[in-house]
Amino acid sequence: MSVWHELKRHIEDRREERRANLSEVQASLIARLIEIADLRLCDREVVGWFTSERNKLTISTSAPAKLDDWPAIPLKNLEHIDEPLLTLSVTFDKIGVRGYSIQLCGKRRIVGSPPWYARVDLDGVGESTNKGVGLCSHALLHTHVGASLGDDHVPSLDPRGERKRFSTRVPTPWLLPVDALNWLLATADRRLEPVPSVRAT
Amino acid sequence: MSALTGNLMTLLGGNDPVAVVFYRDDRSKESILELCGLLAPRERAVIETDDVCDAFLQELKDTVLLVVAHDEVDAVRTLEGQRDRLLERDAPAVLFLMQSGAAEKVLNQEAPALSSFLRGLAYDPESSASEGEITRRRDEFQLRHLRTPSEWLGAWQRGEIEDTAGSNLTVQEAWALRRA
Repeated sequence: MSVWHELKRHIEDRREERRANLSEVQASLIARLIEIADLRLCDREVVGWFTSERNKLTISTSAPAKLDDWPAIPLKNLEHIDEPLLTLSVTFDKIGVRGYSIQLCGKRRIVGSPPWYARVDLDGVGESTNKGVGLCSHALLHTHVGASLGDDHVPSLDPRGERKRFSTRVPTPWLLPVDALNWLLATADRRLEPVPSVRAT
Repeated sequence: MSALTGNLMTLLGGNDPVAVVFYRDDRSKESILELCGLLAPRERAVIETDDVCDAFLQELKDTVLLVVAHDEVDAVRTLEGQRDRLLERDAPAVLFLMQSGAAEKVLNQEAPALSSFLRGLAYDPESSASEGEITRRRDEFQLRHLRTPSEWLGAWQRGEIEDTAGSNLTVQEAWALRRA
């Protein structure tokens, strides 16, 4: 079994071991965002901007910002990016978290640089998919980091001959949605590192 | 129908005497209890109790009571039988009931006064949309994407749709709306 198959198996196994239901995921995200609000990095009203139903959790239209057509949570005063916006959507099946997409985007503080974004995607676990060229370049759970597709990526041919734009996906181990949120926040502001380094004495 | 955390927040911070929260299993109940603690106004005390009669105590009338009764049917009947005493409350007593359980049935069929109190004061984070609502959303989806949710998902899985931020949010929506 290749390491890429092992990574896929790891995601599937951890999802089963840490069965997180919708209410649990929602509470964990809101608890983290309250901490962020207490640091004055977002509005305390954020706790009221979630909406859910039987198998889906997302941001409601009561959130005061939008990213394209999607409701978004505005953050502020982050160390590295201006006008940061957070979008997220999580779906659930009988086991727990089935898939999600959580993104933080904004403007770099370097004049002339393209917009910045980072995103964590969990593709639907257990579903057959033929995206990308395989489990290495398109792992089940992966991150996108850098500029958004439309900003500095050049259209190119993929190895299967389809005309699609180049997209880099970094494989990651299992992350619950709140872990993905923590990673996104920590990339944008050192104060939001959830596990500060232990310095040698 | 979707459940908004904003509505739960309003409910926990309001002056209605009673509210109801539906949960699916013990783990979701624990998580919603935690959520209520997070969403309640900080200036309000929040107490969890298994005794529904605490809702009638004068000294707890300003406290958000999260009522997790061992016998939910009995709790519904107790509140229905003594509903007038609830009117003295200034903060809600939030009754936790299992979704589609016996107590919900009793609430709907045998507790008309309590049901009427609770109109608009329910929170169910995992509610199922009605068939009509699902049809309406599927039609909206098709109008926006020129494919049904199932067709869109098929195209996504075949790699025909570009892997963008928007399409990754759309895939979650399509999955939730797909035909099983």
